[in-house]
Amino acid sequence: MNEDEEASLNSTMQMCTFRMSSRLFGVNILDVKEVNENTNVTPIYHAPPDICGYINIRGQILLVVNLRETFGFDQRHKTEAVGGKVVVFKSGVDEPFGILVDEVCDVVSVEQNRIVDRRAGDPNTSDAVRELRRAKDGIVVGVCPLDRELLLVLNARHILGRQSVKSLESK
Amino acid sequence: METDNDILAEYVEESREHLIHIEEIFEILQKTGEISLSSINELFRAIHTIKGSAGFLGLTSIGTLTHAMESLLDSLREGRLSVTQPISDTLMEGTDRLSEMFEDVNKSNTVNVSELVTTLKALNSGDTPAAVPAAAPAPQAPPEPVEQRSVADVLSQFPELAAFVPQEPAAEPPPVAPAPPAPAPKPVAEKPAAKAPAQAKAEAPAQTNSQDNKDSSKHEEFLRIKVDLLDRLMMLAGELVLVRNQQLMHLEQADATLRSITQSLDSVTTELQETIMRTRMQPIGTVFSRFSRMVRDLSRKLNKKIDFETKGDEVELDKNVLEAIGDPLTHLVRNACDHGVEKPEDRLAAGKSEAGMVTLCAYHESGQIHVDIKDNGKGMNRDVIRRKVLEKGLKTEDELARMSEQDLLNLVFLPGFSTAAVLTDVSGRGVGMDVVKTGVEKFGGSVSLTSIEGEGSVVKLRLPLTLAIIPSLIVQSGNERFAIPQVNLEELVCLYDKDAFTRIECAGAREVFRLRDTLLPMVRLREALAREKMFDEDALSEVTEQNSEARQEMAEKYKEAEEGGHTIHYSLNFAVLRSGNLRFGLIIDRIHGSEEIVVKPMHRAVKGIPLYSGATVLGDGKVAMILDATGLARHYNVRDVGGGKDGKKQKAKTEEGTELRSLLLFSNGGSEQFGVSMQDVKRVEAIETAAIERVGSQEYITLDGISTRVVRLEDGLRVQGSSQPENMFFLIPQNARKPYGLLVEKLIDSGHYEVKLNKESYQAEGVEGTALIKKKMTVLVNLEQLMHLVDGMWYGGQA
Repeated sequence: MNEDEEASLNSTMQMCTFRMSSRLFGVNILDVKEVNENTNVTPIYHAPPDICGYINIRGQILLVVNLRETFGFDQRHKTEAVGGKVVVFKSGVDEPFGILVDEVCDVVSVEQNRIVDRRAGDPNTSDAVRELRRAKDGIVVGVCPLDRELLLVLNARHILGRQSVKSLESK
Repeated sequence: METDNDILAEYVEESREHLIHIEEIFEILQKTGEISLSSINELFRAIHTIKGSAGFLGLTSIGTLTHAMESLLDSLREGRLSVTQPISDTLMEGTDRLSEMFEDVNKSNTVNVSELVTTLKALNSGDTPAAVPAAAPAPQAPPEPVEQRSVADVLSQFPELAAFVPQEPAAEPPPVAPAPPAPAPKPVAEKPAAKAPAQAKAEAPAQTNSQDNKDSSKHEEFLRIKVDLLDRLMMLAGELVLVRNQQLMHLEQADATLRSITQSLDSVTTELQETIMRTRMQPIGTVFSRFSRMVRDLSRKLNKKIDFETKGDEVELDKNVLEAIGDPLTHLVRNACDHGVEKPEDRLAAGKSEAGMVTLCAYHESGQIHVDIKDNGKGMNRDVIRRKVLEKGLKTEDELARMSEQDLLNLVFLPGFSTAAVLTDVSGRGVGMDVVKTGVEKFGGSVSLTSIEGEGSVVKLRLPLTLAIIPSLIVQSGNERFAIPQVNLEELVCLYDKDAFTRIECAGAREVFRLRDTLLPMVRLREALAREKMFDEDALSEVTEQNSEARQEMAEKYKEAEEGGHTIHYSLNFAVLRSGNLRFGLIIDRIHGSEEIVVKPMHRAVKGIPLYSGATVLGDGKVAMILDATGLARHYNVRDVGGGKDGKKQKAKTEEGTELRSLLLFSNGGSEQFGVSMQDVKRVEAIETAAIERVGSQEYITLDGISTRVVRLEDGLRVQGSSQPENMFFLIPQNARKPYGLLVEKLIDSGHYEVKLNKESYQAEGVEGTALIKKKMTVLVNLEQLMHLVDGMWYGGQA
């Protein structure tokens, strides 16, 4: 959790939720600019594998990230068609970019103190979370139990921060 | 300095505007030799405004200087002094110094202005005794401290400044009293009241008022807008164009009403886009204006008489381009004054007018901006160039002997040509010309030079309208399209049928192609994209092997088919790219054509990939990557395969009296063979003769939306006319002042040929001579002369 989140620990936060590989994820709705159809991605050869490519949204060129690749979900069925929507983040979050998702779900209000910091190492964390923890640090900031399932809370600001480091490493 | 940065920035910006205004006035003064009272008033007000806020911001040097200038101007304004050469010079020097200080305003206080201030004071007191009591003793330091105190903003400054205050408090009080940051007019009105004799007083305020009105109305016409905002507007307009295009595509089925609505939408969109594009444009006059001062200063320094003229001040260029051409232009103007224009006595001896002339001329042409720097000086002496080049060892005597006059001139662009020694020895030009050339080429422009000895020289700059939009070639590899900037592109080569698998050869681990006399290393875009690691020898040989196998397969199939009585058609396209001194062929799947693209930088997360220099949105709305020739060459580990250049040189030396020239050979229907110098041809278009339109006695064809005049060979030369087949070719020349091209029927070949020019056998204007090329008598056409002949006005020569 970043400082802002901690400061407002007891307030509620609106999450824009979506599904990737049948798991439920959410990002702070204040970071989201719009949701768009995933059309006509131009691949960027030599980019890290989880970078899908560029799309054009009203004249703006937008980097599209495939988080399933980042999290390593897709190893089994790579041939499956990738998601249908792009969640586009606001310009304050990073340089223009969006993430590829299968399906956009409801906006959910969650109380901040219900979000469990997965880094606390709670023994009850689910397999999914453990999997995530293993895969990527920083992007998943916590888990929030909803009525029927777990919501994995992502911090959009960390999605590409990590990636640029990775692309440097590969040099 | 503890000053609020925003206020300071605004002040600097404002002051610069004032300084520009001041310089404009001085310019008029220079031209006409006189200055009106209202202009002096304007000067006074501008300087006063600068002074006012300088004090308030703690900029003491600026304050001191402006105060001294203001006092002098005040004397002029009230008629105590009249404008003399030393006075105007010193004021101009002061203005220059101010401009310098505003370059880095935070360091302005370290600039020593005392000498200039003393001169100003001396001038103010020297000529008229009347001025002495009022202005001359006015000490220069105090206004700031006093003003500062009145504003009481800059507290940290206070103790140190306070030390100044008591010294000369008596001199300044009345003029300083008005609030310094307030606009100038008010203090102006008050000052004369405090100081001036009655006579001047009556006049000054009245004029001030009328000026005020003018000033304020002027200010309302401009609005400062953030560049990002304009960029965003531009982008949205571009997007609107895409939407419009989509709608136009669906228009087929629409009814008449909808059609007319769409048409108006269409025209509004186009206009909107053009208008938004224009918001970034600024008149080139803003850059030109600074040169009149420079020429004046230079002429005095060099003891020459030089008149300076600008044309086309209103021609508009993108702000970025304007900023970029400042330095090259300075260089060229300085060259023209220093090396071009002769000393007065030499000019008189040569039968010319005493004063030389340097002209800057800007105009639009075929989507580019042309700027000519012209002088009527002594021109360039080919012998001197020849000697210099030999001395420097840049070329051998043999090579020089084979060069045409124009080629000789172009030698001044050679990097080694410009050295300090040249600057003093050579009586021609060529100082730092390579710097100009590289500078201009860096942003997609080009330079060319013409010079007639004894009559003067013209340097022509061709500049893109904007840096954000670049012409590029769209190519395809796999399913993706890529843009290659036109700057990197040299030519396109298509190999058909048999050539597709026989002409690419292997040299070691690499694939090469024999392009005329050079060996061209080949790069396969598909492979370069597929392999993320930089290519090493292993990877290269793997690729080469695979492809030579593929070629063998093709050859077999081809043979099989041939034996079976039918043919398979193969084709292989590659683009010859240049990155620095390295040339390579980039094999691509398909060539789509050229498009003007808007360059967008790469996203932070993918910036490190060397293959791309950016991304762009294509006409159909899809994103395409822009290929970076340098990065591509590095990634593919391209090295100069060598051999080519040396071979060429040896060949060039074989026969005496011949010249190796790069020619384009064509025929015009009959059996005659013609040739033109490759460097005179900008591009060749295949056209349909049906598309040629007749207007009066002239013929036109529309290319890229530009009506281009069609010139036929038989218009100017006595040769056989064309039989008008359905498809013909259109040669578009380099350096044309107006769009035109030469219509030819058939292209025969292009390449480097040994030419032994015979000037006697066929003499006519528009013809260089004849030569035996490919065992055939070939008439070498001089495009420039031919166009002169057909329509003298059309060609932008050295008129």
